[in-house]
Amino acid sequence: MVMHATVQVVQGKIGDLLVARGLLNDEQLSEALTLQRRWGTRLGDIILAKGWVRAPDLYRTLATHLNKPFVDLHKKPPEPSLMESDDLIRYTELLVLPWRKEGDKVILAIADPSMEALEFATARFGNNTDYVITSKFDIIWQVQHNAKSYLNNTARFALAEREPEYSANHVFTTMQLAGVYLLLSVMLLALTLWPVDTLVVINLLIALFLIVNFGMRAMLGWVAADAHIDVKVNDDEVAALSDTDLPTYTVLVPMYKEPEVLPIITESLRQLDYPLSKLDIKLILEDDDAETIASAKRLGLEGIFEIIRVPPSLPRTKPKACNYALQFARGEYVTIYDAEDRPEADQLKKAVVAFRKASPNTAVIQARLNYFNAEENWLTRMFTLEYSLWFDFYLPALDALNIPIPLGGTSNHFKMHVLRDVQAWDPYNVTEDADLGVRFTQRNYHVGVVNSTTYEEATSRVGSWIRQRSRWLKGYMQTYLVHMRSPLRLYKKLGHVGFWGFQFFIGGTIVSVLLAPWLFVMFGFWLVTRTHDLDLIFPPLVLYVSLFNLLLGNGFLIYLSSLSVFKRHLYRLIPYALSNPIYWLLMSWAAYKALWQLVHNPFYWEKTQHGVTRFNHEESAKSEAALRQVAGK
Amino acid sequence: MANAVSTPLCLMRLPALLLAYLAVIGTARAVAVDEGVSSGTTRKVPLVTTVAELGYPSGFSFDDSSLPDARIMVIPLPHDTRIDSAALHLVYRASPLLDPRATLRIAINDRPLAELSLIPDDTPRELQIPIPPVALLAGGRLKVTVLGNVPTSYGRCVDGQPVSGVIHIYPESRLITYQDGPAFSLRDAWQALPGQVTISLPDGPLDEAMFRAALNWVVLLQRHHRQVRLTTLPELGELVIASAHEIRTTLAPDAGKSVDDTPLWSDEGANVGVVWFKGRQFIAATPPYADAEQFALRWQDLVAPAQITTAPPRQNEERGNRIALAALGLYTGPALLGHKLQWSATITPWRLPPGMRPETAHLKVVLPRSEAQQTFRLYAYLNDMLVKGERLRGDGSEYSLAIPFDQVRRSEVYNLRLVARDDSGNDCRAPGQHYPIELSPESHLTLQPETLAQSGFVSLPSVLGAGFDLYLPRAWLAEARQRLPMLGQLLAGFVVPPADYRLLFFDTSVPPPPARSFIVAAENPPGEVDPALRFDQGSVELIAHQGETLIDDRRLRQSSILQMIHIDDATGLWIHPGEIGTLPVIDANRLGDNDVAVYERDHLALTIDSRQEDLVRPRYPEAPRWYERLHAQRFVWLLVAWLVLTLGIIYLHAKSRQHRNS
Repeated sequence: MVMHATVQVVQGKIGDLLVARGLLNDEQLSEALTLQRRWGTRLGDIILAKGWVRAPDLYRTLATHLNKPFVDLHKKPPEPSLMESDDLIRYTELLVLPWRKEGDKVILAIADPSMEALEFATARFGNNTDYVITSKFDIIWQVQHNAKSYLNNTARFALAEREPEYSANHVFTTMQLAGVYLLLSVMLLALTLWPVDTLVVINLLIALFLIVNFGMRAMLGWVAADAHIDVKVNDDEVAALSDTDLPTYTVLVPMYKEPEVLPIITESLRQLDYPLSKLDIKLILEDDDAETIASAKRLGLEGIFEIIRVPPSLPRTKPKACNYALQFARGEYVTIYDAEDRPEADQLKKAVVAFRKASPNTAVIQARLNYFNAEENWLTRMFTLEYSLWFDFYLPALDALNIPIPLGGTSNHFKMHVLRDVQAWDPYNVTEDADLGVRFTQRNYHVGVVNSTTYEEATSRVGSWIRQRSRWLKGYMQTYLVHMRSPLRLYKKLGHVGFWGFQFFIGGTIVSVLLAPWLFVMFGFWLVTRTHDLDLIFPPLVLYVSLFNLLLGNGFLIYLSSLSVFKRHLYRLIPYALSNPIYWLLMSWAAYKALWQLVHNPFYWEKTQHGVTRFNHEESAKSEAALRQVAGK
Repeated sequence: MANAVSTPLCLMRLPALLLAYLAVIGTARAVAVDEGVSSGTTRKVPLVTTVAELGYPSGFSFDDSSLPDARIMVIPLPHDTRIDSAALHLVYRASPLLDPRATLRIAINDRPLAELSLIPDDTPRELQIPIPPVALLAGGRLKVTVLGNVPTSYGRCVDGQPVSGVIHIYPESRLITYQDGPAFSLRDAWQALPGQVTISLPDGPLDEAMFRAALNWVVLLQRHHRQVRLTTLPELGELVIASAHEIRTTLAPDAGKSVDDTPLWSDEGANVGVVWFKGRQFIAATPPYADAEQFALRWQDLVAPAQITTAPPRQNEERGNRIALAALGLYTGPALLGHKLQWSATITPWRLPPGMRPETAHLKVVLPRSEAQQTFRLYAYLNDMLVKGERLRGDGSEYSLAIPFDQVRRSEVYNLRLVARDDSGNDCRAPGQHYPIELSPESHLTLQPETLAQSGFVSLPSVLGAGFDLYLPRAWLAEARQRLPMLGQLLAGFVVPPADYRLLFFDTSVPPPPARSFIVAAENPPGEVDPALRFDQGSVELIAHQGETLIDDRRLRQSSILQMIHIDDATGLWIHPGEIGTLPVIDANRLGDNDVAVYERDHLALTIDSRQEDLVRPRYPEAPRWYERLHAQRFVWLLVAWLVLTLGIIYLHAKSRQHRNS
């Protein structure tokens, strides 16, 4: 059996074979053929995507169809020595791997005997090859099994080894510490020699920093008021897309100990308006997360869902898991959804249109995020206010001003080749998304924002909120420290608008939340004691600027926060904007926790527990019922 | 004419009587004998009592819109000296807008004596009215009623904007009584003391007993609203406090040259007596000096029964913590309400049990049933602030009104004023109607204990009421003439007789810590205390909210400053004495519930409530503050901070490497 990059069909059509074997009925075949014409994908992929036939049965039939043996790689595993680490991604992309060697002939195990796969085999092993048919899941599993260590190390160290300047595995560089040491030493000396003057200057700098910070947010609000600055995709443009032209889309769904939300996300993904056979959905589970893995198995998910089991290793972070799974991705585009996400159904199509409309250097399109349980309690309301401000105002404005966008954790749609080109996510950065946004901007890639929303579950408990926010703020600190290792280089790459935007949007967020409690305490102390001891360090200019910040600055932020819900007509949240100062204090609490962790446990991923809302339970039950109905058919 | 008075005279008298009661302390003044007249062999000594001395320093006025109206002045007459004659000199002016039918009626001892038509031309005029001899009984009192009157006019019912003229009685209006010869009676001599009394003290430092005696006299005089001036012998004032020997020595050089030059003593053995010398009399106080208790009782007896200061009722003497408003001078009894009727009472700490302050006035008003069930309005004012307004119906009901005193700012003195008005517009539809109304004797004031912690000046009478210690620097014995007037005003203003006090002189720069309520005069307060304004932190200045200086260090140190302070369980007053020569006029009523008062020379410059007020505050430019103390040890702190910083950076570096390697 000499293979010459061709596929010889020996027995009938695969659809007919499946029907003949009783695995598929006529109606299903008819529908599958209809979808094949519409989607332009293989019939087998459609049948698998629909979950009508189990994968082993399909591939056995395919083997019969091609007159090739079917091999169960679990029972007859490939020879590890034949597998090349440099080809691992090609194996998973093309669903082919070298199985055995018989003399000089290399036998390939293949799930999709496409031209590309056969050409790859020929290019790699010469003409003396043959193949057997196997399940794509077996190939993916075997790659994971045999190259676990290599893939894992790549996920962990690729960025640190190839572009160490962008890796957060080194929290503080020696130069940074020396700089801080020098600065604080000078400050101490100045405090010793000219205490009052130095305190006044520090006070003035803080006041000026805050006023510029307020000013920048005011400017972002102003810019964002123009509704046309993001990539607008309308329904007509979505409808005009031809499914056959749509690329394969990889969807990464990292999860950890979240069996309760698994049915919800899978149901949400099924509802996506995108050809199912072109979806490459990776459920990324930690290898030791037995309960979620068991839950996924119990659900009997269709062929579009692939489970990627990430071997346990440090850092145990979402970006590392995503990096790991990315090595199995086959899509032209890739996006990430969190387990509790509910993207709008046409989001992938909108992202495709947005990429086509956007400039060629657009590397990522960020969809907007908001919460489906906004009105569950005060915290979720405040969270929604904040998210609305962030995604409906700030991010589009940053995009328009070409300031690095700290991407949201989910619903960011990447061009696969660009993502791989920048070594994907930094596994040591706990806000890998924000870091990636800054890296894209430095490489002259554009980050766009599309008018599609993913609804998430807002954390409804203070403890959980603090954990989540402390992780975000710690990640911001990491991102700031990483990119400020060489401020001049950053300045040259970002330009003055981008540089200062980065300083105030990332750095400013950190500094302001760290400062807030001290300023509140100082103000409260003065209010209660009416002391005049502070007068010396608050000369009139500083006092007036500080008063401006306290009253107008904070007032403006509250005002902006209340305006933020207008775009989504969540008017009932407006009064809650008045309670923002309490929310800011919670942020400060989280910020100090983040600062502590930055020093003592920088790569620790504070897991946010999802699926705890009353709302979510109801939805979860509904989703499970829907799945049972599908299974019953 | 009396029937034309729409306000019942008996009620109208109430406030007037109260005023008269207060004004009675203004008494006749014996002028120098040279100004007297001779009648045969007996020298007639004139005594002049002005309206100003009777409590009307600016005179008084009648507005014709409120006429008829009256002022009553009660003038005590000498007890022990025969009065030859007397005349009332009324200086008045009628403004051009006055109703030409207005008249001024003078009654002596309720007997109409004269009624004069007024010419509204704004010209001051003087009317001399001889007093009938029958009214001049020795030891009696002359009641002078000045009544402004105008016939009821319907014009005001037609003219909605009536103009109003005024009758002004000048303060120099006076009663002049001529007595036969000098008064050798101590009570007559007391009575004859002028508005400003000069006290003569020996030259040089006083001994403690004499200082105390002088202080008691000053307090007594000032409590009776006399201004006091202190001088040294040989100048003779109306009061001389010295040993009998010193007084005789002072008088000796001129003694015996003529009859008038021979000093005449009322009682040479007495320690307080009257001396007639060179045509003028003075009271001589000699050792052993009578103490305050004696002045308060014995001498009050000597003055006249009506002038005795009644000791305040002790707690629980009344029913629980309540006191009848009638006991506080509020008229309770039947009255007739015409167009308007007014009651008032002045509630001072002097009339309350020590340690208590007013809480609520409970008024009971009775209106008999009237045929038309006439309605009335009753307004209650507390320190001229309207605190209550009620509509009452004449249906025989008894109405109860509660007036909490916490509705107004805390004060030492409260003036409770009730105004009843006829609701029907009596003056136009049925002028001249009168309705019975009665403020029931059950009306009373409930009291509450004074809160002494963090108290202000208004609490001072309560604080000092149970007795106190007065700490003075011993140097003041030599500065008595400069210091006594202020001390006298303080004690007169804040000490409720018969509060006992101990006068203690100290030699040290800081007085000893007090064991009970106190007044202490010193540069710095005793004990561990943090006064609102202090002088032990270097220079000090009072600044306004924006930081501008209101009173600088030099002016402050020259000022007399009173502060309420609390030392352990003792509360009292700290006097930071100003420079010698300043004679502040301390009016306790003006200090309110503040706790710091700054007197510059003779006037009150500033009061501060340091517990609340932030508009004015002290600044101590030289005082080390927390950051200045830090500054003093700055290099130590620098070293410590630098060490901590270095260790911190090393730690961060090590942790960073550790994380990277792991």
